[in-house]
Amino acid sequence: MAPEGTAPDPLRDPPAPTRKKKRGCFATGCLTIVGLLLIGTVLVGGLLLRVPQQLGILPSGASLLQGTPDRAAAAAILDQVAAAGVDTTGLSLYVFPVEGQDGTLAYAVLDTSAGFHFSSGTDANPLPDLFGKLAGGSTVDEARVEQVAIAYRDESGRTLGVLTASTDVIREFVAGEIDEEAFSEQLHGDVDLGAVLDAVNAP
Amino acid sequence: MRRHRLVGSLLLATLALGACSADDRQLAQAFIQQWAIDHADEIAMHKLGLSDGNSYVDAAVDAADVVMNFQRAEDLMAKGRRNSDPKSMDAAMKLRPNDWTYELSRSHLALQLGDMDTYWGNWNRVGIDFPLGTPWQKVDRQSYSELLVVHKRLDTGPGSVSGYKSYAQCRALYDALAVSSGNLAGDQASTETRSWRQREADCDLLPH
Repeated sequence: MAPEGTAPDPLRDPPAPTRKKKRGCFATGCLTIVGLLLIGTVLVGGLLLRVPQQLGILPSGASLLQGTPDRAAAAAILDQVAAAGVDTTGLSLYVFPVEGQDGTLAYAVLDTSAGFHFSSGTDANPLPDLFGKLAGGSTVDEARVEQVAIAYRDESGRTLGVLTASTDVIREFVAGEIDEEAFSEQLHGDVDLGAVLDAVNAP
Repeated sequence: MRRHRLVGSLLLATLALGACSADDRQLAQAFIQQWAIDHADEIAMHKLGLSDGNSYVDAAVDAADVVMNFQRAEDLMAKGRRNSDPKSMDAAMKLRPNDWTYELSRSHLALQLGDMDTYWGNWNRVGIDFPLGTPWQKVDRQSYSELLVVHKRLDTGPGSVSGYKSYAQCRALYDALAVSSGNLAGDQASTETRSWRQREADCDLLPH
């Protein structure tokens, strides 16, 4: 220590070493967690935005539907459905070839905003009932329909969801080999639950 | 799953109580809602773009945009056919490239307008994009009905070729009519085919 009144000699009196502030385990852990969360968010966000599909890393279902739709088959099936007592106002049907498959996809859009209404006239739930009508008859076989999908739009034109089943499963249901619950179990699809709840709660 | 069913049943009961007359629409919506509750895991998988490997299901679930795009293209193509409007047709073909039905219609419009390069170009595309294993009769059916429309717009009566811009246009039209009608009849010497061939001979009146 330099005597009082004299300037400190840095050689003789080196400054007391300052303690390097270390990052504690807690901070490191926090940073790791935040980093992982960030990576997770980016990954999930990327998946939700379908980035891998857009980059061609993962296949997209839409890319399987690039073939020319069979308009004549769609019209014939629609006629058949109308003959089965379904009012086809607001009902559009598309028969798409599916890439890599021999069969086709019959895709029906039930657009309530375009005037669609169910006309089952039975006690059965109208949706499974309509699946049955779309999967029956010779026109469906002639068009090699292997899968039937129904997209349902509400009064505002918003799509509530799309449900789909193979024609085999639908025919088992129609034949009474499986009940409605088992049929529902074998359905696949995608639903906007928020939109469904809005539609259900709409006045 | 049992808990989900209970929740679903409660929702259905609420629905039935809330709306005294649960009509078909409400039943359908309740069915969709119940399915969504039971298959929340599957919905999450699809939202993340993950697939269970069934391409029919993948195609069905992702078809909404394809259908919307298709409908837009169909409207444009219908406008193009109705108004003989090549711009609308081209816009439709931009939305749905490789659709042989569009290529066929575009080729026939080009034939009507006397644009022979576009006619042959699109006609050749039909041959490329028409799916293997599909009966060619589909092409003939569309082709013949569209060619009849083109003929109606250009024809000025037997022995007259004043409606045609060129010998090539005249010949191509009558040849296509003869071939399509023959294919549809299953006989290239059918009465209809022969009558088109006779009209084809009138094209010699044009300079070539």
